[in-house]
Amino acid sequence: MTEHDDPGNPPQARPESPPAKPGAIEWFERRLQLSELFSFLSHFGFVYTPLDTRLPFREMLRQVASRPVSSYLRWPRVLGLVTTVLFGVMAVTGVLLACYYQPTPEAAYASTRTIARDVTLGWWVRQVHAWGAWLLLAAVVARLARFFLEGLYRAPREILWWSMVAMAWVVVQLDFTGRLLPWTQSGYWSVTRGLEAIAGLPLVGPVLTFIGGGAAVNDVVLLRFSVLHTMVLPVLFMALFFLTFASLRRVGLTTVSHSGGVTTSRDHFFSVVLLFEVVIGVLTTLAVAVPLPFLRAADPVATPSGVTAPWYLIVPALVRDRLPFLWWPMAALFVFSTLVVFFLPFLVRGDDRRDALARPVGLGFGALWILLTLAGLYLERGR
Amino acid sequence: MSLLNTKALWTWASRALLAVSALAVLLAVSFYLRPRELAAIPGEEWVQVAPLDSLLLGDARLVQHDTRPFYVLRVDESRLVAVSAVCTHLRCTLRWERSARAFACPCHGDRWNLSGAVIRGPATRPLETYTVSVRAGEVWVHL
Repeated sequence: MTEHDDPGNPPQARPESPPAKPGAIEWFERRLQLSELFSFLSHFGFVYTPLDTRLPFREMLRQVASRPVSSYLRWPRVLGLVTTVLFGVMAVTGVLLACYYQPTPEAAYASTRTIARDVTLGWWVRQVHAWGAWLLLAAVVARLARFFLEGLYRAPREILWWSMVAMAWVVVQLDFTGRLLPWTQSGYWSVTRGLEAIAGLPLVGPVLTFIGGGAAVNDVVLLRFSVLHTMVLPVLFMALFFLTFASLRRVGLTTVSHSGGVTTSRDHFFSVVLLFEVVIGVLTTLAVAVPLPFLRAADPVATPSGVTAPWYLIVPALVRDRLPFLWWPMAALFVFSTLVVFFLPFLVRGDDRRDALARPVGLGFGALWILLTLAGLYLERGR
Repeated sequence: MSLLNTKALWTWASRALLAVSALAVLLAVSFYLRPRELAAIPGEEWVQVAPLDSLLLGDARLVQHDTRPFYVLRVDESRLVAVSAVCTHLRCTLRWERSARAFACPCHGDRWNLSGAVIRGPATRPLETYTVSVRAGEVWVHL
């Protein structure tokens, strides 16, 4: 053990801890750099303290478990952990769904129906995945709002903000691509309406439809959406997790108003396990009490009534349909506000006066967007 | 005695709970992933084949059912036979040889007779045979 010790920073001697018995961990330790391996896993956020990877694994775990860390299980910090846990649930249920799902127009609906109807516990997997999408979207949006309201985009947290904004984008795209996959009538037409709005956007419209496989929903688009939904976007999301946690280790989330509680990593770990159980419980309750519908198969020939674009695209879809003269100003505003959101850390730099301005402006825009979305849902309801 | 110590008891209780939950999750996932072939209970499925009149005497019809293709043979006016078309050696799909009145494997030349018994190896196990019934002129096979 002595060859690992840094003379300038010797690990704390712990006379009360018994010498490590040679066990399974030691067997691996002689063959693997376990501590390094663990430090890689910890980048996905379940351990917040710095790790001393030179120590033997058992010793390192013992140190980590007893070191005080700020508790991330308090509102509103917990939103980050909720996002992580929900993503884990979505990844596992998504892999299970992918075991049966077939991304072709002929088989997509039937294979989803097989999952929902015939496969043991398939209904649970599908419902949890569908409800988890709503909750994940809600968690990410709430976290984004929280970051904005607390000014957590200012230096040195720019990268935290950017990865947060990118995460929101990726989640919205995951939701959008996921809507099409079951090939139900409502999903098909909802995506068709959404794609119309996206394809019309300046600059990004042509790029996004190129990536998505075209503006008209067909077999190519279905396959492309399935690849984006199951391979590209989840990997992007995980990369953003990595960026978030790497940034969190450096700059933390500490603000004046939320100094947060202090706990040990051991307690933190068990709290995460509890949180996981709570999330599963909530999702199961929703799946049983308010099951999301799975109705008719998509019919590209017959447009049904009452199908709207997804709620996050309802304003552009509505403007395109009913107020076409406002389309270009709205699209310009959309691109402009995207740029503002991205460059926010440079526009508001720790200056209290400008910070005081940013918050009401942002809240105003948020409220306007919510009002317009509600109005859009109301107007589109009778279609 | 150490087991009666409260802390140790809690430790063991939580470990047991973890183990039980892990086992439950493992069971649930394996039930979900269980292949259809294994999930199908033998003798539970009726497959409609064809109208009886369309089957000619001495002719074998290959029925492509899922991963279990089978032959339906009209041996004579009153007898119908249903035999699995999957070689028990390496799962090649068998051919019906009318002149020899035998099923032949295109892969290794195995032969089976009409009742599914092996005439020539390398296969050693007999072919599966199924119950056939005729209802309202339609041939059904009980897989």
